Amino acid sequence: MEPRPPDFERADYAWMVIGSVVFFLLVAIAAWRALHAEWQPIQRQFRTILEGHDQMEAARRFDLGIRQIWNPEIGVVDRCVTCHLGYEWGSRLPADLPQPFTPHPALPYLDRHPFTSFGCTVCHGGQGWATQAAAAHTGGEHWDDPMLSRALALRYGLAQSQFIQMRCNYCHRHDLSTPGMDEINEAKALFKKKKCLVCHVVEGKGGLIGPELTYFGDKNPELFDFAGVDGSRTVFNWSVQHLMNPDKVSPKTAMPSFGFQPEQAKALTLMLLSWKRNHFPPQYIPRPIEIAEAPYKMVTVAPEPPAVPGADAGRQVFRTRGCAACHTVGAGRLLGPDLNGVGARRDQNWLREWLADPAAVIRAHPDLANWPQDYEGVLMPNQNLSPAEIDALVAYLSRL
Amino acid sequence: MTARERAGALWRRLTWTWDPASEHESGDAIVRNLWLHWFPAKVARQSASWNYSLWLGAASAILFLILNVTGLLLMFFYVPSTEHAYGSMKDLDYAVTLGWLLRNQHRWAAHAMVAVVFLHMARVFFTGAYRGQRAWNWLVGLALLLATLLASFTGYLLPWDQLAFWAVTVGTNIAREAPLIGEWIRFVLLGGSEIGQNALLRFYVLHIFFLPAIIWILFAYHMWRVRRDGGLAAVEPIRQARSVQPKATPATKSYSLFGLTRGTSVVVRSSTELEEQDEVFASPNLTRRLALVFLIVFNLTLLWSLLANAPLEEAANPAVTPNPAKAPWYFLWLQELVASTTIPIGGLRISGGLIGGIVVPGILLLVAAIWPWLDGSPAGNEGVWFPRRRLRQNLVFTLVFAIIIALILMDIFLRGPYWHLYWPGTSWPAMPRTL
Amino acid sequence: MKATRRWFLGAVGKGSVALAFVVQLAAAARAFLPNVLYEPLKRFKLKQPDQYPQGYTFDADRRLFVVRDQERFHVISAVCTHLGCTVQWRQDEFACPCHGSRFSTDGTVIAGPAPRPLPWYEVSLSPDGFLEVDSAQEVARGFSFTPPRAKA
Repeated sequence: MEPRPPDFERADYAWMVIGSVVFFLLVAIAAWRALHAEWQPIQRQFRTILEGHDQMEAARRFDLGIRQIWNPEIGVVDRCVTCHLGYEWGSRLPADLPQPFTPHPALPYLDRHPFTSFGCTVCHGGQGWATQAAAAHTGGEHWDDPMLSRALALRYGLAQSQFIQMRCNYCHRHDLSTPGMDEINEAKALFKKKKCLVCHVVEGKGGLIGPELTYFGDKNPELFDFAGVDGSRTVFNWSVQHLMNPDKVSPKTAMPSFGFQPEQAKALTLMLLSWKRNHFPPQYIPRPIEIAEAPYKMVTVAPEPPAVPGADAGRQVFRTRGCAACHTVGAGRLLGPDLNGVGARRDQNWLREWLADPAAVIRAHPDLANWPQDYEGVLMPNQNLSPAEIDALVAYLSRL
Repeated sequence: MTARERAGALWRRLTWTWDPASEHESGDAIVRNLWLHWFPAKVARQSASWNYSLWLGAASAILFLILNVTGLLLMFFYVPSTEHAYGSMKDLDYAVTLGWLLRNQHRWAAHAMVAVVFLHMARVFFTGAYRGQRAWNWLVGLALLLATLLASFTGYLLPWDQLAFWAVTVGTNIAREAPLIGEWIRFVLLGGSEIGQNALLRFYVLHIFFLPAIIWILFAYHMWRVRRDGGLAAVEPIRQARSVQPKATPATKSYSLFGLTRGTSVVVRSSTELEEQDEVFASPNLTRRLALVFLIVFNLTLLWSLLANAPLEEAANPAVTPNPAKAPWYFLWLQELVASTTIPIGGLRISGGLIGGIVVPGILLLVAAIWPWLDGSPAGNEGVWFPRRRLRQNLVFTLVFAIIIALILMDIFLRGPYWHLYWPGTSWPAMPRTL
Repeated sequence: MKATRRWFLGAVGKGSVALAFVVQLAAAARAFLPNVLYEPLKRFKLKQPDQYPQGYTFDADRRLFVVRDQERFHVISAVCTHLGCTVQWRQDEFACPCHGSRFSTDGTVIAGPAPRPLPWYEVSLSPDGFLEVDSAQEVARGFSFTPPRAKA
């Protein structure tokens, strides 16, 4: 027998042993993680709960495993029900079970929103694919659709039942009013009452003074200017503060301050953020509860202002600077008074001062203090006209 | 024979090549085993040592093997369709048993392979192992480097998330800056003028078949060249040392042709081959060490995969550009160049995409490729680390390498939203969100 | 090598094989140049002119800005000429979030690595009264289109 060849380096053996041990350790850790998913003890606990509430048959048939509600029609893969196992047990388990076992509250409209058709995330938000709580609820840094939790709602001073209406309105957008959606209903009423369509286009109808709002909820958050916004930089905050004080958030805006209370501003924001591009099949869009034409039944394009010889420049200013959005000449009152005959009612100096700074004129003349109330609380915003434009306009208006 | 003895004999017959019991068996093993024919019967000790090559080449090959296996498995779960790709990634993370581990292994092995091949290239340079007849293998290695980077580039479009989509937008727009043919190259790469299903499918096929095939073929050639060049450059110093000591002339018989010649027959007096004390048998020593390197590399990727999850951003959205939009770390130095090298010349502005994305890397690649012929250092300095005679060459390489690393680090830590420079310590502004 | 019949026939045979190979390769290569694209057309309709407010309106889907000045329209691409990110409108300039390129209101580069100004696309009116953009046709800065109107 020839001698064994001398070993190259004996240390290699030792390292092999160490390496193998480390390998087995790591594999053991990986296997442990695979076999100990977050949801497993939760599911076992639920089985115990079932047994404890005398649901022996269900407990016996209860299989451990990831569960999901899958609806390809609306692109939903919701694995929330892996942990939220009590969701369909409202009739047989107590409503005060701790989360995640709490049965879904027995809302009056739940029958018309069956779980298999809607899943969970359509209404609640969050990341349906995930099987871990944190990933499912907030989704992390790169997920812009968090679950509408009680905590998140509270951050904006709302209850969860109010906050969640934002998502109800994805489908119920064209209802005039929907039972159970009080905040959205109020927002829609305000939208009609304050005549937002005079300045904003929504779904093809409206004025061109402000930006189109049809898909406000889809707008890239980076495109908002947060310089004048207090608190966290979210579109929700921006919208609420902008509605309550447009000039602070968007300096030199033509949008008047409507004097909205915080609750009203939040309701309107819920509605605005619900306006997103959603591709729901027709069977998901509810029959309108009331004909939803009413918001659009208004004069959105005022008739052309009359031509006045020698004052064509002023007429152009009237047309292009948006005066026609709130004032007609001889066609009745819109948001602002009918300007027919204003040349006789007001002298040129008064007109000049008013066009330069309406708020200053109100302050200087106490007898005009009730004007905003007379016009639904809307004060004519400063339109930032140049001196040349004011001269031309005054020349035109004084001849009406 | 008893059953136990028969079993033992069978086991011996199956495994003797990996565990030779004698020098005879060691030598025989490499011609009797398909896998082992890869190796020579003996290798120089120096070649097999840790501190010569750091086994970086082997590590990169092992990482490639890991990528192949994990990649093959991933193919059963990933769907290369713009509608389903992102969902299939999420399924891997959450629904497939050990899917998260598979995905993490693949991603981290890919990152590691890019780093290791760069380090391997540095090692080859610093030991002068591209000189002389090894210059051709240096070129093959450069081709492998390019193929690795391309495999990485095609791979990270596949998750179809924001990072994927915008990184490929940037990459293909750089390609478009190539003069004359740029637009056409981009059109063929993407299968259209926009990044969509065609682009995803083309990148998928390139990533799972063509690039791995090219890498395997080049790798085989790369290894064959090592054998053909006489082994790693580590043998060169040994050869030189041996060649200055001529061997004693052995006594030989002399044969005459028709009785006309006289004297001894032809004898080689200086040794050009390695001597016995310089070498060890490939089986089991090289194989054992290779197995050890495999264990170490695999353990490292496994550990990394257990500790950190591969990133996945939001689903690709052509309407919204993420902020900041960064390439993966190994392309960040390119992105920094591309962002900073737009040069105004007279009335023209030459795009940084052309200068930083095509011209500068092109020049670097070209210089690297012809370096074996540009290298002016005297011969005989291969096979050792940092020989004094190669100081200038090593300094140049180190400088370029250091600049690249510095740019990468700068872009990771100092470039924030809107590509502004944020000095360490200053916090990046939180990007606005919807809720 | 003599030009014998044998040689000639051999050349024809080898040449045919080579030609067949090359033609096959060329055909395969041609197949990879798509003839149809599942992409939006380069020439597309927007909304009717009257539906655009004065000033700059961002169209996120088409990645462009429709600019209205009184009755004159022009269209500026929102795709940064550096590496293709979508620029953002910031009241008096365009800013690209990717590498800090900034453009003035007419698309001229004022800062950053963008090599060319933002292109302006040709605008016209479709027969049924919609603004029509041809993104394959660039026009010079200063171009404007005034849709013909019934009333002045």
